[in-house]
Amino acid sequence: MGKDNSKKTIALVVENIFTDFAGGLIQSLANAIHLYKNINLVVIAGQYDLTRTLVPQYREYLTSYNAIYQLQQQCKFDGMIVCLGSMVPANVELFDRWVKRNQHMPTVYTVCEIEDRVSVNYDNTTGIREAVDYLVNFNGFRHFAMMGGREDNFDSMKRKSIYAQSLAEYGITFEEKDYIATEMFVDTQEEARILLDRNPDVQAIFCVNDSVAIGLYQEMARRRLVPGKDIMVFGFDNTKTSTRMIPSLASVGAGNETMGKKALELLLKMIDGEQVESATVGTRFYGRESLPYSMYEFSNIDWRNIEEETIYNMFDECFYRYKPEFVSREAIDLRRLFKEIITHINQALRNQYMSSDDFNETKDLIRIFFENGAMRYTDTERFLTYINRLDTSINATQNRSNAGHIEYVNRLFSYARDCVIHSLSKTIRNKNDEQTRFRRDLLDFLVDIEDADAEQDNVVNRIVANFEKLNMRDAALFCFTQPVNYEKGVEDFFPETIRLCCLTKSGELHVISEERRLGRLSEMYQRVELAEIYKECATFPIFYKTRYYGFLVCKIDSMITTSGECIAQQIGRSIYLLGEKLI
Amino acid sequence: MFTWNFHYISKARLSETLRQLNLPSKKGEVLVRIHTAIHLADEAVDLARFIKNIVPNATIFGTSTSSVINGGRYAQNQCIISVSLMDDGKIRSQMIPYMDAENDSIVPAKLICGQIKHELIEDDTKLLLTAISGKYMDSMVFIDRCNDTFPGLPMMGGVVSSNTSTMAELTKDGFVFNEETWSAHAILLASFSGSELESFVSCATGIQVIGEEEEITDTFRSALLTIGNQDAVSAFTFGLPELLDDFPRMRLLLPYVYTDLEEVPVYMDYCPDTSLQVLFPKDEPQNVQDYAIRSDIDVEVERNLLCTQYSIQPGNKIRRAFIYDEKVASDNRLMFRRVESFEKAETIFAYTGFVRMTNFKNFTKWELSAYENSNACGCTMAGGIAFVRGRNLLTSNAFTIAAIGEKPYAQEFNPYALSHTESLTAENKEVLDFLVDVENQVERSGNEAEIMRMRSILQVCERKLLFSDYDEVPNEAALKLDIKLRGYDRLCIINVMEKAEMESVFTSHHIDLTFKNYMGKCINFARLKKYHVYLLGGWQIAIAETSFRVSRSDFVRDMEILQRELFEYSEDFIAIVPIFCVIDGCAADNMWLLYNTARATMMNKNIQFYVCDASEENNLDEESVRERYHIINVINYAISNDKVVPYFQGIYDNKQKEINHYEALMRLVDENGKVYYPNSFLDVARSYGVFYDEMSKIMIRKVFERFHNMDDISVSMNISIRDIKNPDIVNLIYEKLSQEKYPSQFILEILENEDVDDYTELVGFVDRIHELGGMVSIDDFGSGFSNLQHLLSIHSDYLKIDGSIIRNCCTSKDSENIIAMISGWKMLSGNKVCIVAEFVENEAIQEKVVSYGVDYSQGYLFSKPAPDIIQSAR
Repeated sequence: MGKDNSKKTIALVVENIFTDFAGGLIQSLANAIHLYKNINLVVIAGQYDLTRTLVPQYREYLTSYNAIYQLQQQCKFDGMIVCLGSMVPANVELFDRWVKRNQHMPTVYTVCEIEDRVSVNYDNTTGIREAVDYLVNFNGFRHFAMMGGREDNFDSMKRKSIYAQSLAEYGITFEEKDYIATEMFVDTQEEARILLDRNPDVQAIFCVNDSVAIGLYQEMARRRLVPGKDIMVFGFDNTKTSTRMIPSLASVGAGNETMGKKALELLLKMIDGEQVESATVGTRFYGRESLPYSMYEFSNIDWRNIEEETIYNMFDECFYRYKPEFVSREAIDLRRLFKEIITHINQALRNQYMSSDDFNETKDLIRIFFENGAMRYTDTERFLTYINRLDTSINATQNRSNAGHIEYVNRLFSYARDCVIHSLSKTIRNKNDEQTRFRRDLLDFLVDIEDADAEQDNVVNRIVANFEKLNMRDAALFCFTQPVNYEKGVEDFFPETIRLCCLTKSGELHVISEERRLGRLSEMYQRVELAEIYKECATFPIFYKTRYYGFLVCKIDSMITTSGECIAQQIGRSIYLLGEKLI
Repeated sequence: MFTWNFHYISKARLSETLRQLNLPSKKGEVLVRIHTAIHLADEAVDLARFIKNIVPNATIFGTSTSSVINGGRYAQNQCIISVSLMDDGKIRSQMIPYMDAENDSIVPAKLICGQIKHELIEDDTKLLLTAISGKYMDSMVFIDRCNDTFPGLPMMGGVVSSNTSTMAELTKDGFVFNEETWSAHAILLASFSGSELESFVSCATGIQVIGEEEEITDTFRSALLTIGNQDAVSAFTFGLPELLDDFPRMRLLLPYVYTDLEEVPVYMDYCPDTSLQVLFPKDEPQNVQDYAIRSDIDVEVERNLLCTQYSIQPGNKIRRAFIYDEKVASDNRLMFRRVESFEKAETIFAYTGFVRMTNFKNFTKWELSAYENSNACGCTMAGGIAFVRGRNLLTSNAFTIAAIGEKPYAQEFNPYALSHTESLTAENKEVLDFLVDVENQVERSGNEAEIMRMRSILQVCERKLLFSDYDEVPNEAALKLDIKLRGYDRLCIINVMEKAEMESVFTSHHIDLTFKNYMGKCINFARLKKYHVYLLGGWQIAIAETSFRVSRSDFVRDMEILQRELFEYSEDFIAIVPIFCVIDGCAADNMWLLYNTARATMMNKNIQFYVCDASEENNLDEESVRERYHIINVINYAISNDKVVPYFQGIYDNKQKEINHYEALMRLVDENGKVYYPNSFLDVARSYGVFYDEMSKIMIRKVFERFHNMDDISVSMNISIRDIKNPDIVNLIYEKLSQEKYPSQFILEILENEDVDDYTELVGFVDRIHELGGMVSIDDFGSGFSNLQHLLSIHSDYLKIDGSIIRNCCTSKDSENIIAMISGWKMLSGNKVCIVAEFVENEAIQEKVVSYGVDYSQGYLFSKPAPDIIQSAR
């Protein structure tokens, strides 16, 4: 009885799971694995620990936290995707060791280039050039500046040179005074101040990533400058943050193919023993309020004879986060649904008539469209701009005298706007509720496991008994038999065995019986009990100071990426406080 | 009255058949009907004379035809002869020409009718068999005149067709004949009279009137010139005359009916680019008069013309109608019920229109099939006479039946045929495709008003085609169309299985009530959720939706809710178990395939709810397929190149402390010398049974060879239930065993991997082995669930405990307990069975099994399987 060869477990080693960038990568990978059969994705996320301003105890915490990277050495994986951009330069030695150790494991690196290693990087050029083209040709700007990144960051240097190159092609000089380096994090207000002081007449600023723009925004606000009006601003990575900023930030991001999908594609080929070359994924420029730009103008569309492809382009332009790999048999194909809605409207325009049945049906489709999360794939401002444009375009081409159907169509548009507002408010409300519930659940859990009366001095069993209270739908608790002391620099210090204590499946608690708990650490991600969770999961370390107790493995969802660390921390702390008795 | 029908094969056989009937000795009058598609006119007369010579008192009634009907089937290129013998009734026959040969003119219909009445009709005449030959333009007038002259007398027959398959040629060479002569311009009649005689005549067309009344405003002979003062072709096509060029079938599917004769369609021929004078030659006597009267018409101009078969007068009112399957079915059922309940149905005449036979083949076949086993006999007519509401009508597209007899008589029918309408569905689908094509064509051309008119007519038709007879619920055709046009790809098919059982126990009223409740629940639920519901026939329902409107999990959840609702208990209804099969990603052409596959799975697992994904069903795992074929090659190679080899693993005797027993294990070796283990090839071999059998035989031979006449060591080999069922293999074992000096050294290990369905066979095998001095062992004891049954019915000598139990006996208390149980059972029963433990991998396990008194240990601790026996103690 051999092992099931067709099943593959892939690790995604990433820093800072909670960042927008990591979130995007994880999401794109999670979507991509659905295109294949029998692939499980395990996210092993550490924390970036090299920022200058760390207090010592926090640095210590992060160092312990990063011991989790040992898992990718000690557990059995079929392949690995590594995304540790900032670890590379700062920790060359450690990284070299990793690369050497993983020489025989198929590995794809993202956003960094290492000699003789397969990597996937952004093709920085297209997107940046698109933005520059627009600014120069359409707005006639001549004075550009850039908030750059660290010297040691591969991408930031590349972006800088492309930016300069693009400008040079238009005969625009890009000098040292137009440029300032940053740590690539949000606290860039100081750098922004210097840059703006040096260039009072700057017309457009390119930020090396979206986070950097936050400091710039703050500084601009202090000077009563409005991004998009006084100075055009655009960032890179097209993260969710960019859409939440006010005004929303234009940004360069992946085109139709995502980084995760491409990386997975290469990795699977490597696992099959094929020779693969490093690859790039195309970028494009996403205009927003801070730099209004759009690929398509719909004012010239002939609504009576619209092509199917045009409708799909309209959709892709507006719901730019919706990628083809999202289309599975299980869920609703939003693209297709969008086409159906537009087709209904078109029919009304062509026949100059819309029956009330047809109206209601279309309205229903619009409701379904938004109920199924259409707004997850765009941002409000963009959507509203689009819908206004469509509305105007349709009204302009129609003969107003025969307006019964136009009345209906307009009502549909306003209904769509209502749906957007409704769905946004629901999202916010849900988020608030979720956070409140999370705090309450965690509190209940903590109080209950501390119950002094408990006969049980085995703290793990107390946690198991109350595990359900954490309200995690799909999660598993792994604990060592003894606490493990972590010493910096020691490798492979995790013991060979680990116990799977309990898990929740679709919110239902399954306690594993004592005799079945023990298993090998290396096969931790192959245990049959949690097949469903492993489809895509993230691992969080349970530790206190340097004492390691185990891991929390959770199916990935939006909540777990932000709260998983906190839950694992609280469990670790409780184990420490309640006497560290694990069995 | 009695009727015999037989095919004409040769004169010799015919005379023999007639002699057997011994008609001259019987007193009644005899009618011999001949419908031939194989004789020329003169040959036909000759045949009639031949019959007349044998049966001098017979009345001969002969026609040409394009195909004959006999006992519920129709056949081309045959000749059918039907002999009817009356008890007391009279038969009168006459051939009356409608052309006056002397002055080449038409005999007025009035004169003909007068002659018929005088010569053929009596007070007790019950049926007038009529055959008109040639292109008799005044047929309509003639039939109408008959209705006036002898009102209420049903006629049967029609315009004779010739042996051809095209409409244009159809009537040209048609003829009627008797023993004296034949004619292409005459009416042949036969009347049936008698006081005891009764007849019933009816017809089925399947036509449904859908349009408004219009008036024919101008005609010339049989050509329609204007309708409602609009050009006839244009009027017929709603202002889109080019439609007829593309869709000539429209004439048949959407025909006109006369408002006073709504039961039968009017056949219209489409004659493009022709002139009246070509269609109606001036020199033809029938036309002369019309040319004289209508000098106002340009008869030379070429145009598109619509022609009926017979002369037609302006002022007739017409309406648009439509022929479709449900109506065909209901018309036929109605007619059949009445024929069936007609008491004196001694003889059945069946005639069908040529148009129907050629254009609605499925309809014709289906409607005839109900009369299988009866003596229904007749032929195809170019135009048939149908008796409706006390009047005779001429039509080209009807199925007519006459039942006639003097004494009560029960025919054997085939009423079940009428409840199976699958073949009509095929016709339905064809018609539907046609209508959709027309609709698309219409959408592309013409102006708004015309499109709207045409569309409304087409939609009425489509509705007829698309809705089942239950409560306006769309049918299977509609589902398939919607899958195609609207992209419904999430589908749930619901069905109730135990209908026959239900029918045997409950009243039909009770069943109907339950059905209504079941349907009602499904329909209401679907409507509430805005899904689309279809009745596929019987109790089978489909609920469909597009995948972009509802996600799979939501759809499945809703279907589960519906299933629960249907399960709900109520005293008023029969408890039914509806089965639900959700098909995701289906298309019109793979829907049934997927459903049937899913049903098979559901039956196997006995589940009532199943979700199947079309995309997964089609997705073959390429790698495993390739692997499979590789293994087939290996097996094939091994069998034909003597590479099926036994490996031997030593088994340690815990009492003697030595290896004195071996198990033979099968291995395959490929061209490169690579050795394959059973787990890589056994499944494949099993699925190709012949391979498996061949491999078993080779193993048996080789093992017996290797251990031939050895008295100090013994061997066991694996035998599956499949092997035991194969007489070749069993006999081979018996033969080999009987040749052995020490048969007790051979142990047959029975594998339990296939379900044992016949214990007597197994026990028989075991007993025979024992008789021959061999031994039997049960393999993998503890791995299946039915082993205790084995244990009791088979007197086995060895018991091998399943490896997975042994392997875990040191870590799992449960596994250890099982070993304890088995050894305890051995002691309690005082059984002399030997217990073998396999997978003994280390000392700890060995200590444990020895402590439980296990007799033999097998495993890597002692010996690994090797190509030959290795005799070594630990």
